Amino acid sequence: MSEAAISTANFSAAGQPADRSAARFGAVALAVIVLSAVFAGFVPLQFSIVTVFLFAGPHNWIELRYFLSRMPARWGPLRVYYLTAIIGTLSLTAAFISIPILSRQYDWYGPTISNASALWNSALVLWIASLVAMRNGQKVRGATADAAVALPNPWLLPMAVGFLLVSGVWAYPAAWDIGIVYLHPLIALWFLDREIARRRPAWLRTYRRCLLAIPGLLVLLWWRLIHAPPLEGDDMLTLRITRHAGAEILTGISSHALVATHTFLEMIHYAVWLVAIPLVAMRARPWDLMDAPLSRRSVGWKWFVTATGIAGLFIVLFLWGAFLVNYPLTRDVYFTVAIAHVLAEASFLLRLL
Amino acid sequence: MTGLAQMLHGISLLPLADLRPVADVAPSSADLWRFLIPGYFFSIAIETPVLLIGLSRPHSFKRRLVAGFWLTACSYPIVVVAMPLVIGFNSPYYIPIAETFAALGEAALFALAFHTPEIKRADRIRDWIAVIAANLCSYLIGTVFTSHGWL
Repeated sequence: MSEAAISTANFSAAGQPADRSAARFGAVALAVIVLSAVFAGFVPLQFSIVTVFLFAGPHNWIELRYFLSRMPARWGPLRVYYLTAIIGTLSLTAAFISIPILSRQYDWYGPTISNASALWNSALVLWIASLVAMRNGQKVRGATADAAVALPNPWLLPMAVGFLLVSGVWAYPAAWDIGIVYLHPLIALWFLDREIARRRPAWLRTYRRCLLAIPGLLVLLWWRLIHAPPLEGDDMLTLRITRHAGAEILTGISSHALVATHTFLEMIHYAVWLVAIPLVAMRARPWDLMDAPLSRRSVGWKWFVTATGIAGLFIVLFLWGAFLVNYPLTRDVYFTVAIAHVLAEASFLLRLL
Repeated sequence: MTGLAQMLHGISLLPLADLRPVADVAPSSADLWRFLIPGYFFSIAIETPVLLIGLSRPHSFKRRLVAGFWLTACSYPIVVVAMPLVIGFNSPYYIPIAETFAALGEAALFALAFHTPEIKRADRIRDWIAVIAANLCSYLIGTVFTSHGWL
């Protein structure tokens, strides 16, 4: 949306109430961002443990709920796109889960695991490039005849960039892995930006201004923590959390800075999915699954959507129980299986763009 | 597309003007990246004319030109950067695997991007032959250049 349109939405259509609601939204968003940075900076391990325990499962459920509400009842010309997205999400998730299992079973050593991981990352990159190309193709088909002729072939740029990235994956596998860990939380902000632009344009300028606080706080965190002593503790949980934040790869940076950064971004990711997206983008209450277009397709689909939603709730409850019984193991399993939601996010984000 | 991929086998990559046989030295990842751009332009200089002549009638001149640049842009980074790191630069399997991947991969990519339902089967086959021929040319010319010490 253009600045002029945002301005109009701010001052004429809704008048002053829109201003006030945007200001309230901005104040709450800023408070969440700043508080997350404060907790992540001062007590990174504890903050990470608590936020993952409380929010990991529920945020995945809300994501599932959101995706169900965005999936059209009839796919029509989007059929190939959605099939590629769903098959890719399921097969890449299965492959991701099987890598650690196979490596234990067949005693894979360093280079073999690294090659398996690079192979998976290559498949991920080419899958995303294909989705981007299909999305470009829909834009070409949707354009007028004259405009469509001027548009480039939809496959050219995505595949060229995709193959270049694949070679990067093999040349610098660690950089790619770390990139996914740190960039994934930011995808939620992109989702929110698109949803605000569509549904609450009066908030868009405020939202984007609030986003500026994130790089500012990251600079502050790194300035204060980059040479801080490493996080204390040689227990399995501390090791897992620091390893997840990349401490084994980015050895020149204090583990305190890495965990604080990752936890800060992860908390923002949770806040977006648990509070902002339901507030901005969901017309029905989250538990009211009947508004999902798929459930209107047929009785069978209605049952499927309901069953999926209920199963998701049970998984959230099970996850909380499992965290209470064995937190480190559950955290490991969760972050392996949770790759599915990262992949689903990528597919749906491309549809929104 | 892989003429220089073939030439890379057993020659120094640094700097390009100083190419010389050093068969036992495996290039580093940085060396491979440095070779990517000059190697790419060498490859398209050979392959694009073959595609301009060889692709079937339904494809416009502009599309043939684009294909010459695009197909190599897709396959070359894999052949020159990723494959040497995985297979090993001095492995006897490198050249056959790299050349096969480049030819078949480019044929598949061409079909994906440019083979619309209106393109007839005979034209499709001609396109695939042209793409494979372009790769074969760059391989052979690369071999000749290397064996005569012109590079």
